[in-house]
Amino acid sequence: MTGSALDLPGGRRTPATAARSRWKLTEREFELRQSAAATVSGENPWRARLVQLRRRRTAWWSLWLLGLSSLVCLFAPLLPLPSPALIELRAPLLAPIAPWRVFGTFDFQPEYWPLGWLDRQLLELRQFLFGTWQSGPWLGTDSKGRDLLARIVFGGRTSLAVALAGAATSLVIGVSYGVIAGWFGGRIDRWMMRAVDVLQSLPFVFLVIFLLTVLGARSSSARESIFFVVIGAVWWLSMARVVRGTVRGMRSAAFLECAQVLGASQASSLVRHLVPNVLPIVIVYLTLTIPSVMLFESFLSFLGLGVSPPRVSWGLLALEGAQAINPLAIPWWLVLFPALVMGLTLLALTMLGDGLRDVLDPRSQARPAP
Amino acid sequence: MTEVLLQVRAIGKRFDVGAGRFQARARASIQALSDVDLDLASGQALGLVGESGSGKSTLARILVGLEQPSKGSVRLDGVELTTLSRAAWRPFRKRIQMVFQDCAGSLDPRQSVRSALLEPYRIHGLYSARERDMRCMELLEAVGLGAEHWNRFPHELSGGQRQRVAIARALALEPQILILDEPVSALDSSMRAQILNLLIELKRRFHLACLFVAHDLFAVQALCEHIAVMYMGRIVEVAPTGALFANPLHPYTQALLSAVPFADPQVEQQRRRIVLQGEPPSPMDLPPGCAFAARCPTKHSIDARLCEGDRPLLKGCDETGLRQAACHAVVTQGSQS
Repeated sequence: MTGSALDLPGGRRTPATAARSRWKLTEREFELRQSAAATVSGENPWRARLVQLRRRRTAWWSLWLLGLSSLVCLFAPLLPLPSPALIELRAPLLAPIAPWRVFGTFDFQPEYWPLGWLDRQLLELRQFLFGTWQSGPWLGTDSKGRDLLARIVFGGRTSLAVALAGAATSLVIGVSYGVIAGWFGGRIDRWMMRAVDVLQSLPFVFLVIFLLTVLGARSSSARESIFFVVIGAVWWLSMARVVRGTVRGMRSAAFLECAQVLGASQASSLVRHLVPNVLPIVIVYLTLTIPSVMLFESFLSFLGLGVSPPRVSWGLLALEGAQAINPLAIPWWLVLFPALVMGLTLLALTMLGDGLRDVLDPRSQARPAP
Repeated sequence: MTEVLLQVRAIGKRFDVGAGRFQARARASIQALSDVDLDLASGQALGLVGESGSGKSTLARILVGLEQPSKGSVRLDGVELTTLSRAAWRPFRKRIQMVFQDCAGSLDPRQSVRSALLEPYRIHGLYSARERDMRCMELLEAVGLGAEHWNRFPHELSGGQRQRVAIARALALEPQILILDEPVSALDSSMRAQILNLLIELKRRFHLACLFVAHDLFAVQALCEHIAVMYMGRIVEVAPTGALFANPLHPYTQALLSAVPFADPQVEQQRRRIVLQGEPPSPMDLPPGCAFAARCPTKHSIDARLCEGDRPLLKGCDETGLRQAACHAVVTQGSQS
């Protein structure tokens, strides 16, 4: 058996013998089999996942709700809403008036905090489109006569941006930090995790106050960007821990060794095998992170460290509403509507996270038994 | 004539245990393998049998570069494999592949059968997309699966089917050498027979050189031309399969063979079983002599001090040199007769 019948793809060819049959499937036979396979299950996996997500009603509606509210918040200056910063002391604590009673008025006066370039363009477009028409006080006004609906929409911009910042840092920094620490283990892992321990043991609020004062909040926009950086800097810590723990448990999984034997590089087995298997935990943890970031933001804003008036966020609105309640007047709308919007968003996030986790996990999909 | 593909020489592996943060030196070390020599010829299968903890899986892992040996060399066509980095290993992956024992864990739960089979081609950048699909379909058929399994996920397959997929993936790169690390021990017995038959067929079809690691002598018998028996990290006997079953030389092999029950109750009642006394020695503290001496039933037929004090080496026991055993008693017998 001197001439082994191998036809090595690497280039080394040895004469073929009858002992070993070569590849022999023809194009035609392959097409037949492939069409058989296609009828059994699945076409494009991402398309199949989209269909799966659509089948999960709550997750699908949550996706729509979140998409819609982000769009509304993004294009807020374009909408014919009253100015969120316009103080109207003649009409404080106006109870909600149904749209069919007062649909709108023609006394729009643009009064905002300093807006960015894009927002100014949107505002001009709005004035071009709607003139001075604005919607009525459908959700009532606050103690300074500012329209609640407008404040909720503009507050959503802050809240969603904070949520996005927290989620993004959790995802990017937290996941990669955790994967690296868990994968390499040993000394690298020890030092990386001690760093996380130290950061996590620092009192949060102190850290934020310290950074905000030291870095000098000259203008309110500079202050806001510092605020985002600070939230991002502290919010990936627990994600890193969770991911690191999962990765450590998975490090010796046989399929990773298999990938090594097949010749995969470390980086590619990390990206192709490890990260997808950590994903369900990441998604679940993310849906837990986002609400806490939003609540943390409202807490800081309440202390005067976050967004500063007249800017708003949902948490801040709810807090203001709660403060406005006294034995003589109970402006319930100031608490109810911000809380409702925030609660709905968080619920939708959780539902979407649940659905996504299920859809991305092939094990959770009930398929008809062949 | 057979051409030696894989040459294993004097492989030793020691695992240090108890080295901690405050303790630079290890408290103890486990000698998992010592002075293992093996030759794997092209198209031939070698069975590696031994009880658990005898180091056979460690040897298999060293051969595919999952572990670094403490000493010794592994050569594939004269190229030293043990010192290669992960990247330098890559071209050799096309020639030596492995099937793992844990068929449930060796497939990524998030990868469909198809993408698992495409992965080796993707890693090595072989073939066009369409050719890859064709190869992958053909591999599925080669291992007895069909188009209907193409888009399944591991959790939708039975244990036997998963092992078939794992075998197909190992064969995707058309290796010359296939290391089988207990490929059937996690399966039930009917599945076991099917997979064994499949392996026999694939070995012939792909002209594979196999190293079949198992603790079950009979699983090995069906596939392998030669069998090596391991005990406490050493090879104690190497023989052609037929000769080993007909006339085991090493007392440990004799005990191992006599532990296998026969299906015939008459024979089963009459045959003499060798029941080993005592425990195997701790791998942290191996005796200076033969590791099997403490349990050896034939030790007393010769000078027991020789067995306990002097480690027997693997020596040829017949004219061809194909039969080798590491036992003082065997050699003494040979010289007397």
